[in-house]
Amino acid sequence: MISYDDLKKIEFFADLTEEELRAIQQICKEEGYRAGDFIFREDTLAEHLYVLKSGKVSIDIRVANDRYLSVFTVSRFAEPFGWSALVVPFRFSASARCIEDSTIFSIDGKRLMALIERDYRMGFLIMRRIARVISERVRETRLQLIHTFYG
Amino acid sequence: MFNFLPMPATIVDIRQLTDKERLFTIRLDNDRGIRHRPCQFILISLLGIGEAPISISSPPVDSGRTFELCIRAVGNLTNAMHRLSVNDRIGIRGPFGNGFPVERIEGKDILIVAGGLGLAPLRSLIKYVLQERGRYGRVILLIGTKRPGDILFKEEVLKWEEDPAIETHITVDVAEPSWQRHVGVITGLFKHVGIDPFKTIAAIVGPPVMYRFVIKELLAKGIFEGNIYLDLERRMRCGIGKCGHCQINGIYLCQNGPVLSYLEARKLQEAL
Repeated sequence: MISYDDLKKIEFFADLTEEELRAIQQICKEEGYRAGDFIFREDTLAEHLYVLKSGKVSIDIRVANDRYLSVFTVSRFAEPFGWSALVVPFRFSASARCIEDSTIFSIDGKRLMALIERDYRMGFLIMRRIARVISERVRETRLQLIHTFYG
Repeated sequence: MFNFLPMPATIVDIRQLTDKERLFTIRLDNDRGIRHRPCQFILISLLGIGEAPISISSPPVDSGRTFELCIRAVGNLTNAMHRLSVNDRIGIRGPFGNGFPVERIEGKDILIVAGGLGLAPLRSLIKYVLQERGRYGRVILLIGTKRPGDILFKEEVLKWEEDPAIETHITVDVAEPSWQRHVGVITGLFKHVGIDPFKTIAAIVGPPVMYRFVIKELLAKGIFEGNIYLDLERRMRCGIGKCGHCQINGIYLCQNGPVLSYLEARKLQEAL
């Protein structure tokens, strides 16, 4: 379980009340990974939502059997990734691989969904943040495509 | 300055930078320096082929007798340049254009945004600023390319990454897993850079599509339109404001540009 103070610093949860944050705290733990470790792999069941505490994580997409391409880097404190844990069909659309030794906050996706089901206000605030993350990734991807085809 | 007649010059060195770009070191046969400002350009001529504008990649201080041109093989003349060897001779006119206003930005922080081949002209500014380091505040360099193999001046860029005099951030659009740096578009790097909008001057050079998105980020950070400089080098033909190829509204980019502030550029139709 992570400390309440650490949780408060995460922008992703900035809208939540103390009570809601305490509930999140119960389902959140801190995990350490070495450079080269995979946190999750593409097309596997998305059981956790992740937030970067320190280090650097590459988001990779498989383009051939044994060939991966890095398409995004998570390197800012409190940057969330692994949002597939909150979005149907709950399967990761990419892999996450540490390119530096990293510390990650891992939030149990099923239990978070259960909290959301019970408290629609909190659910709305979390899903609004998730929508923002996805929207930023879509915008970034569009720019990458524009750069590829028109740059 | 050699405005009308090409001056004979000799290629004294050629270095392969990437698959498509080579760095040519040129010496004018009269042994006079080119005497340019950062972000100015020259016109190269090859007999039987024609002329093409190329930005100068070396800083003014280095250019006692030689200067450097980073050339991508994309057209008739640039492909012909790539077929030349050391000691081959070419024609040079210039330098042309206004260059970057290095005096105006003394004491300010400089944010340099280089997309792809945009690093070629900006290298002259970067190296100039590093040589005159005491006259400027923070120097922040953001470099974006499509792939790691496309990064120009890779050895220098890696040195800049280690150099405390310049804060260097690199990103690529897509990379093999061995790549340890940032992946994503260049605007993504702005999240990693804290700037003081009231004392920051931005210099942007890159593919046309990049300008709109980078300017949007800079304006959102609160940088004044007049403190954002763009290098709009394109369609240069004569270099002396006669042919009109580079004219946008009332401005001849070969003379009044290629460096314009966004405050000036946004009033020009077709500029961005």
